[in-house]
Amino acid sequence: MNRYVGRLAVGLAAGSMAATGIGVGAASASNAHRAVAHRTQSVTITFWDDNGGPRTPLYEHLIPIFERQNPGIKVKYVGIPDTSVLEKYDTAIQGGSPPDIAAIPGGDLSAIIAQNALISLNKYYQNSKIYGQILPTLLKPTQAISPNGKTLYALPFSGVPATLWCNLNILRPAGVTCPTTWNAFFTDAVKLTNANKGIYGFTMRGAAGATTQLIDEMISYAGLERFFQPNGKTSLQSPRVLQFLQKFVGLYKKATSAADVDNSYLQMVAEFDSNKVGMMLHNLGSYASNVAAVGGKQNLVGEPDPAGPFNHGRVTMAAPGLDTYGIFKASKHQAQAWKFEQFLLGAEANGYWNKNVGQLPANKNVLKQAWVHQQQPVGALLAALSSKNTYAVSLPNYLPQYGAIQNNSDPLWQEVMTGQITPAQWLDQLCSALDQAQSLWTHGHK
Amino acid sequence: MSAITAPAVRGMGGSGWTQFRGRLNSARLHLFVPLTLYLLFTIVPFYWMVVFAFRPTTSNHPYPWPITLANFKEVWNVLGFGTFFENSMLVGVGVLIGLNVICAMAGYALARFKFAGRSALILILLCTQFVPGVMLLIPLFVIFRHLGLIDNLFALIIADIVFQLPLTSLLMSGFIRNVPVELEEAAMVDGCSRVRAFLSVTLPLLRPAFVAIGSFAFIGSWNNFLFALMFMSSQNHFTLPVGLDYTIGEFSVNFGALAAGGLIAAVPVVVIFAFVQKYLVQGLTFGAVKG
Repeated sequence: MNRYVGRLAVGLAAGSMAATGIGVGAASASNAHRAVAHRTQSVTITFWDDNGGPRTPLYEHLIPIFERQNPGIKVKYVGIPDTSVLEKYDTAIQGGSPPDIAAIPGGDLSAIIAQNALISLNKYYQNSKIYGQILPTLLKPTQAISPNGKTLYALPFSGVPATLWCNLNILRPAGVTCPTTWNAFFTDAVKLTNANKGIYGFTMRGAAGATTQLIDEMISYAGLERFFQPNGKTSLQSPRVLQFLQKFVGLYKKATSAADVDNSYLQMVAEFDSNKVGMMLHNLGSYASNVAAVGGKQNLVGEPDPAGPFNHGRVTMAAPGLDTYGIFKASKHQAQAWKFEQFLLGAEANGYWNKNVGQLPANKNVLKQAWVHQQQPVGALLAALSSKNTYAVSLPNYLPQYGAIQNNSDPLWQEVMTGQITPAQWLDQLCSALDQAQSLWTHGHK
Repeated sequence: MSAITAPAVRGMGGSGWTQFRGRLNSARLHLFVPLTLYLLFTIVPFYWMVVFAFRPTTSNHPYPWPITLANFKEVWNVLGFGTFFENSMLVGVGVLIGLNVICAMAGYALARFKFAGRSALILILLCTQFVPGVMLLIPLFVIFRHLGLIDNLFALIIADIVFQLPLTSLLMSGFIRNVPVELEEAAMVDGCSRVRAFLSVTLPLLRPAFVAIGSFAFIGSWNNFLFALMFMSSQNHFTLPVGLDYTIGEFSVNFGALAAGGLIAAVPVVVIFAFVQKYLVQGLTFGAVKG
């Protein structure tokens, strides 16, 4: 009897487990849906947005326009939360179920290319009506991410250059204008600080993302014109860079809040947007939230990173961060996905998207639109990037380890801020890791 | 006059104060102080969440003034929290029911039967707790894809049940072991089958256990971000934790919406705890002292 009941219990357990799989029925329903779609010659492509939430309304506006222009193609929009984009894409690629087309942050592109998940867009782009319209300032760094430096595994739709944000609510009463040189920046940051009133001249990024930010600033201050020298060693290993780091960390607690040691971009932007901080080094992407927080465009200035003391009149800056669109190899509707990508990169859609986000548009024709010059930071950054006097340094986003190297250096930067290690020690470990990664990459591609 | 009134006031005040001091001094002070501090640590973040949720983005007041419901309207209507809430509720209830049914059977088998490999099975069940969910993400993804369950809420119910089943089965077997087997035997002597004896005699006694396990199951699935993000690929199938992440952008954060969304997500859990805490404590201590 006991044995019988035991078997019954085990059987019931197995049965229940099987019963919970009743959703299998949904698969056949989905197949039926596909069959109907096939009969009506309509194709549905899936589009993943890497910044779901804030930017969802923009695509909800653009997708119906595309669908009206292309009656045979439906676009299924899926907004992926920004904090988990690469994990979601990796799982989908490895699980064999990626979308047809996706927005991919430039920093994650090499990891996705390394999985052989994207198709080359060179031929699509060359034969398209948008050929030649993408800004070389954004196109070349995208191309440089591919292993051979030529294949376009994605096309850029927006650029996010490093930006010095100035809150005029704090600067005006002190009679300070947004600094254009690093020397003025260091002086003004201290001048604006009144710790007793809780006002600080600057907010420093001490935690996650600190290294990413610092690399932009080191390049700008030291006037570096290439990331790696011909001998494969990074140009960051320089006395000029060390001088910058020493001056920069000297601002901590002198012109910043002590809490800045724990600042990721979340806390840093929140601190700036609290109207208690004069300046912040971030990128163009925080434009919309900054404008809202300081009470309008008239109270905010965004400028390129200041000019360094060694630049001899030339402005050097890190190439802008990238937002790109890529088409997945596993897609059965690559041609339709390209049509959608071409639409998104066209002047109308690209202009609409970047105008609302406040970033650099990728399509040259958008630069003729009035808003580009009405949004001061976009105009200023664009002018700097298009100036013959500016040198934009490409970052080694092609290195698969580049993201990890930066992440590993972030906690060590906190140790610099708290005086546990010196800026020189921090710079040594960063340069050593970069040199090693570059060496591996060079040997792997010989 | 003062000679008449003063002693009366002093007497009343003195008596009350003495009583209060007496109470504080008597064994309670060492409880009140740490508990008050702990409460402050717990309440202050919640207070800030309420402040951010109810005040406008442009306000810097340390209290929710002027009061606005704009953040709630945004998360509910614009970010789609209505749908996310519904999905979370469906998955939570599904996991609660499914897990309780399966772990009652598994727990009963572990508690009442001696079979070959029982100890090994218990050890394996325990060992599964050392495997983080993220390690099984891709295998589970592939299995669900073959079953046609990607982008289907059943995938979340199954995955949550599977991950919570080992521990809850062991917990349930402990609960069942503490119900005297003689009660079932007596029912069987009266003509009940074992299943009937379990359903009629043991099951009603396990109410605190079901409440405790059900609460953990519900809250576990309610808060599960990883599976909801990875196994769903439609906006209208995401759950609340994914929705909360929508308020954190690549370069900016909507703190008002984040706080409003956090409140929406926290309220059901707080309500559940308020109603079931009596059973929860009872369930967790059930059989702690076996007589």
